[in-house]
Amino acid sequence: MIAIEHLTRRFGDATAVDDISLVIPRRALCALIGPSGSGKSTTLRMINRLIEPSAGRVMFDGRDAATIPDLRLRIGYAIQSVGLFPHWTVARNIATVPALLGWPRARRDARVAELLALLELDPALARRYPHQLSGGQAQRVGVARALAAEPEALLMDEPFGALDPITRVGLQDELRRIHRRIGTTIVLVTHDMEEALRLADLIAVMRDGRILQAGAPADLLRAPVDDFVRDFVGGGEAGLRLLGLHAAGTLANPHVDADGDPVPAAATLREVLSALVARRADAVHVADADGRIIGAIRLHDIMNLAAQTDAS
Amino acid sequence: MRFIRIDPVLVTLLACAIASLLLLPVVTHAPNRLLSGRPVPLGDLAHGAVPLLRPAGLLLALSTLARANNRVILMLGGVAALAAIGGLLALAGATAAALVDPAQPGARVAIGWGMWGGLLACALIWTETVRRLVRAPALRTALGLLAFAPPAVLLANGSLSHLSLLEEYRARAETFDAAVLGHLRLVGLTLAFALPAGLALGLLAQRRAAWRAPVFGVLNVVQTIPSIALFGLLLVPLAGIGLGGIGTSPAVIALTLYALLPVARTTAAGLDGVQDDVRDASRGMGMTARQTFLHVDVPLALPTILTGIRITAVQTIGLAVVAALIGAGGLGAILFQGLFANALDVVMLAVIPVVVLAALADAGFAILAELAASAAGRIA
Repeated sequence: MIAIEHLTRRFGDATAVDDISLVIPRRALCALIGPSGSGKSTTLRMINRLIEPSAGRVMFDGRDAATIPDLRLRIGYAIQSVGLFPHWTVARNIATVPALLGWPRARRDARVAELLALLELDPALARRYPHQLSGGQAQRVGVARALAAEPEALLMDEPFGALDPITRVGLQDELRRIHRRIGTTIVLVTHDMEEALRLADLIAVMRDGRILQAGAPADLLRAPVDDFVRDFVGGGEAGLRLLGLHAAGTLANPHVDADGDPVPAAATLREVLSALVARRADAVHVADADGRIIGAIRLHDIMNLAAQTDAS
Repeated sequence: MRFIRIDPVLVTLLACAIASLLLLPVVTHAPNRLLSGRPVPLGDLAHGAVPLLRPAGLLLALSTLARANNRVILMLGGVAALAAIGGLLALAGATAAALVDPAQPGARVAIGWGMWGGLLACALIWTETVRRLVRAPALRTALGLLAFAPPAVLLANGSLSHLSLLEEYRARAETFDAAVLGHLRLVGLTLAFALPAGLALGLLAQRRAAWRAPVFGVLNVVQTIPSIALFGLLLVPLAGIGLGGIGTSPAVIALTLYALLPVARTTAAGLDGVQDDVRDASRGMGMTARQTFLHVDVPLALPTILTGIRITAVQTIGLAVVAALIGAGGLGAILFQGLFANALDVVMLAVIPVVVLAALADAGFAILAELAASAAGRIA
């Protein structure tokens, strides 16, 4: 658990982060989101003390971060520009923190192989140099490097911001998969609401150095505290984004029939709605991972769900 | 003719070689070292070396017709250039041996401007063909030095011993050896002071923005002072503090001041070239400032810094010649002696080792820089 307590950072007369508090539960994926200059990156960099707070503190499992000597060796760090060491091979880049921690050679090599597999990177890349990688590969290596020493938390500063949309979505799915598997607490800075909604369990919306609202994605969409949060989180399509938080499988009704190709159970209701509109249909089949039809979703089921969540 | 194209660079160099050899004196003969020599007519040149020169000349001519990517012809042209260097020098040596007359012990047979020009053009043809044939910079540099091989062989086997240059060497062998050592000592001392100081100044300028302008401002001004003037400027203050205004110490101080700029400049440039995000990542992953400097900054900046050290070494080898004017010795002492006596061969006796030393230093540091760059992974 990471607890941010009354954290403030001033640069000269300007206050970049202004007395913020936030509790990030163990194994959560928390997105800090806000426009440029809202203080989200400064907050992230105060968590691993790349920036010293002017006031307040960060607690890791009840222990003040300022008193943890090898703090940054225990927290993974990945940034938008990746910052791979150009003079080291991919393998040596990934093994940076294990090497600093003095792991024996064999253990480092084994960990590198494991991480290449986890991030679905070709083992042959281990011997390449960063300039020989594509943008997506470099960012995967950056994430692998951040995870190398099994950190207690992972901090990511717009890790996918510089990638093309297809690569970005692919890596977001990958991150979600990895997060589910290893369960490390992740704090992610982004300005992309779709990214935050796709990945995060907890979203903190920041503006002018303050947290305007923090909560589960659905709570932010349903009950924004003010117009800024409504606009920022909803972006004019709050309803659709809300549907995007639900998987088709949860709403599939086995007693309903439909025509046409089924949609996968893992698809979001937003995608189901899109399919219904595109097919001009009232209902669509839902199939599980093995391709078996587990039921169907009707347009008015989706509407009812929206009405329920509005009421709640 | 689509498959034969005249190579502009090689044909120009060959034309220079031929023009130089035909229009200027190739070998000169003087009754004594004070009189300027008269050109030896082409017909009186010793012809022992001509059989070697003829095919070399033909191959050279052929190489200028090569398309730029015809490796075999380029290779033959390069070998022909080396053969021409050896052949021309052998021709001079043989001519000197033929003209030597025990009745006239003071007579001098010297290499003329025409031959110096021809030798230089042939050496350039050699380095040019190497440049085109070899891609790896270190190998390229090392092969370029082979231009010194034919003269070295001829010197070793005594073929050149009757030439005026060698007569002058024999007349002052001990002085010459001492001058070479003295020159190396000046250069060595200068680098020993300038490298740590330049590295420190470069680091300071790169790390502290406020220091950048003053550091480089002062070093730039120093660089603009003519060397003789700087030696003069140092004379009085150094004499005042008891170091002596002439001799080794003012020379090393002046040479060090000149050497600081290229070392400091490339140190700062090399460190500037390390991207901020790489430093940020290394700190973010828990490297200490010291670890970041040693594992990230230094290896990434090293190739650039070594280039600066290479420039500095070559510059210092050349500048140290002037230090002879304030009594610091070195090869400059021989050079100025020849210059004031109007004895070209004595001047050459000093110039040739300076050129060789500079070329060796250049090649040595170029190879080091390349090794550092490939160790740094940028050349993969």
